[in-house]
Amino acid sequence: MSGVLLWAWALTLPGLVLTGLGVGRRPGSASLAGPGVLLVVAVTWLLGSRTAAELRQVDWLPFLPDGAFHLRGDALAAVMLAVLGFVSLCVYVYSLAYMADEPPAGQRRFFMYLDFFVASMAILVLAGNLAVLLIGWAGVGLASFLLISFWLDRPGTLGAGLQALAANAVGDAALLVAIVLVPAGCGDLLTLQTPACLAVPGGARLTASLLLVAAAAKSAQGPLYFWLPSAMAGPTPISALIHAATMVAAGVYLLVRTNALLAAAPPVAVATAALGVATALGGGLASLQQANFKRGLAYSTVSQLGYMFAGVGFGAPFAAIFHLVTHASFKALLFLSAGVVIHARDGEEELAALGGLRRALPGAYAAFLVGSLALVGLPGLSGALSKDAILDAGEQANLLLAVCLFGGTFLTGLYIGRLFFGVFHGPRPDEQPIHHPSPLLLWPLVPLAVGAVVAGYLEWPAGLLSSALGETAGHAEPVRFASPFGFFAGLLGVFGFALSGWRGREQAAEPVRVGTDAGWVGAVARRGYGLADRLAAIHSGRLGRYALASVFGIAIILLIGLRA
Amino acid sequence: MSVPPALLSVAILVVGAMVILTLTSRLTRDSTALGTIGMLTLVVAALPSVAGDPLSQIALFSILGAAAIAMLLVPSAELHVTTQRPEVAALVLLGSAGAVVLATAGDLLSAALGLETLSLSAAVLIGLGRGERPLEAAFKYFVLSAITFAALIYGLGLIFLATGSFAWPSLAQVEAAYHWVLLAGVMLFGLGVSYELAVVPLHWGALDVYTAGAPALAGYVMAASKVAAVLALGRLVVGAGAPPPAVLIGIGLLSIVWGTLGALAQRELRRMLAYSAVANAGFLALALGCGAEGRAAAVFYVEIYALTALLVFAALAGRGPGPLGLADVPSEEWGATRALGLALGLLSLAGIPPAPGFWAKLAVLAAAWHAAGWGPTVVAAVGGVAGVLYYLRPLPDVFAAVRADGGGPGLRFPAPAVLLAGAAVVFLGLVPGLAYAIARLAIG
Repeated sequence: MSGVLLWAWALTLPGLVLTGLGVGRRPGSASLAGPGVLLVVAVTWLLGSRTAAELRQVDWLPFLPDGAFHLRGDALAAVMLAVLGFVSLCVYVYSLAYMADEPPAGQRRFFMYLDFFVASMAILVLAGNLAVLLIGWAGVGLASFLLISFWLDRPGTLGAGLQALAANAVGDAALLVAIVLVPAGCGDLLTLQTPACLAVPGGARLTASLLLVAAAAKSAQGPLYFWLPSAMAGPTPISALIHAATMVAAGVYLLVRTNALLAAAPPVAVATAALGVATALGGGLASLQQANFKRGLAYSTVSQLGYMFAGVGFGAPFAAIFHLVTHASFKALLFLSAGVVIHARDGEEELAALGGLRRALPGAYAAFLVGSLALVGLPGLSGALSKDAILDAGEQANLLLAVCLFGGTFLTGLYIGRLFFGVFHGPRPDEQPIHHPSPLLLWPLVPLAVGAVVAGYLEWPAGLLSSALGETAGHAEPVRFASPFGFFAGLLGVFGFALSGWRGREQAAEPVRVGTDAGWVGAVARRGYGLADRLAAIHSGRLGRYALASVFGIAIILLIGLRA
Repeated sequence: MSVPPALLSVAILVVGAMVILTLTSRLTRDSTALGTIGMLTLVVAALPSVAGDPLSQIALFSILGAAAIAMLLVPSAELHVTTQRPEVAALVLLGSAGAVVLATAGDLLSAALGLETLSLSAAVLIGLGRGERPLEAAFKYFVLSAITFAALIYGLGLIFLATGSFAWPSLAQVEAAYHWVLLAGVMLFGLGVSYELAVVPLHWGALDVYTAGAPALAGYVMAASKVAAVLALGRLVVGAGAPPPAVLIGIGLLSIVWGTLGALAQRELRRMLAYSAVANAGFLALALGCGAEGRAAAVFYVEIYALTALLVFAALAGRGPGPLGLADVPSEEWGATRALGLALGLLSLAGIPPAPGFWAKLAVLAAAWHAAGWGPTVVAAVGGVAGVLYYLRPLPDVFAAVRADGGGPGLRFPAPAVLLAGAAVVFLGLVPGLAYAIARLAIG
């Protein structure tokens, strides 16, 4: 079984080819088996003897310090693959119905992109060293770009895709530098912290900082958050799978995988925690200001990823992975039930135009409620337990940051309550017709809702998840659940949620606009493109100027060279 | 006295070109015979490499490989006068002969001769393209190449003045007789060769050529001249002491920044490719300045870059007139082979692993980190990843344009060239170590 785990990344590729060749009565149905088998493989491995497997082809890239083709199938990878298989299977089934209005060629393309994404994400989590990690890292970024820009004829989709590429590029540059600067033989993700591998100027701090930048770019943390809300221009199933459950969590995964390195660089660990807490609070505040349903949820993702970063920074990688697992379930549920609403209203996403849909869409209503309660941390639901683990770790590591994070749970309740009551309660703002969702749209919500309720019990009280993960997610103290701290955080969240309901939908739907999203990104982009245009304008096409520039260029270079 | 293998290849190429030119009137009507003679010449010319050293092997393989893909494209080349296909085929052979001479020359004088043969053939190849712009571009390219060639010849004179010979200056010589005359000579000669690389500030002519030339021919000009220039420059800097590598690093970084910004400003595919060629030339120059590992990385990079550029241009060949916007859905029906070929090329140029373009960038970065330190590595890394912003922009449209094969009415589509280049790109992506090992043997 462990050998099969190593090849899990190839499981969706047959589907990609078959869908591309037009196999299957319904476009995309040929791809369905891939994520299903992936889920089975990962779960079977976790339930079995859990023998880790490695594949190592040395000197695949002889010019790198560690250029091996190195895959590692261990418990952390298996847990990530199980999450990936579970959420992607639900999203695939959902997409069959959600994308059914597209022309068949478009549907095929959509499923091929999805297959490519799942394969890349699997390589990312199975990577044994930095070089292989980068294959998956760039692959998921490419898939994300292609899927955000999927609806080419809609305005803004290409721009949103390019924003995602730009943010990713920052992280990729950091990873590239990290790959080449480690000493020869270092690149294995598990041994980056050994003294031999830290023998570079800057040592652990430098390497850990570079990985932190890469992770922050992928997981939309700190100033690099801007691309994720824009990414909502893509189809909603994509928002659920890539921009909520799996790809954006890759940054968290990377930090957990290399948590020993982070532990060797305490200042970077504190920076990670502070970045996470700041993003958790900022994302929550920003969500309150959104006029768009999906963007409101996107900021919630930014905020929850901040919780995971804080967990890693607190020295509790297990808590971060635990929250990653539960979050994947309830956030995918929230997005997919939002998709039901958007689909029923012909693509309407503005909160002002949505409201009172409780009776018309009872399935989506129930699913969104379950997801919301799991998110705010109603004691007993999955989100409560995993957030509790992070807050507990914070209490021991850095009380100030933990208290801020504790306050953040109130924000969580406020913003998700605002979305929930705004969309489902109150009066209908108009009498637009509502399409009733097909069963294919509703069925995938069921397993996700079950996951949102029970995923926490993977760990509490029997500690199944932490014993399965063992050392791969860092050796953490056993998590003491139901501490007063975590319990009150959950109550605070529920209080915020209820408060939103009490304020009523009119106020709730009103966006509190303070400034635009990430104005600095627009400014940087305008400056950059302005500079590029000016530089391109130098190329006037006039031979005389070109000749003069060549002669002077040669003369100047000659002078500089002779003086050196 | 035995004939060097590379020289034998050059002789075969020239004979092949002569044969084609003699039979022009007949071959104009018979494109199959033209293609056969051209390919046969290339295959026979590649045979002597069996007995050659690694340098001539890599030169022959990459230059003749580029010529072979170009030869497959000759029937679909967009020419101003469509009966000139035999002349185009002959010029490809002659240009390749020049490129092989430049790359493998035993002394500087022959290298200069090879360079001139290559750049004259290139100018004429571009000038034969359809429309007014190719002619203008070819003229600019020719005039600007004359300027840099003058610098090169002057440098040759200075080197002769300092050393009394036209041999490649060796390190011992340089250190013994190290004075500014020799250094100036080496630098002027190197700048003359850099023109073929299209680095800033010698990139002006190349920009127009890459943009305006018929795609089938522009791709070849780009590939052959860059491969030959890298091999020649690599041999020059081995024995050049300290200043020239530092200058190369500086020029390389300038070109990376310049080409990246320029490409970001473009709204049209061909112009974007032209500017990004400058950024890629920057990577080559940077690598050439970074010691032995860097020179190996440069050869590795240029092999992959030349091949990828050929793939992209082959996919654009015979596409019909008119510029191709970066964000337009291609208007004509694109065959699956064309669209996938273009997509693969763009992915590799953008540096998406496991496409080989990414491995090439990594190799240069690794060399830069060891030889040039922090600053250049970070600039190159940022310039490298910024490439996704312009290379991937057309990608959603390209994928959306994939249709069943066949192509639009009246378009000749060169599937064999795309398939050949595409297969080679995939191979290099999966087995990058092989190409790197050969590159390291060629220039230590």
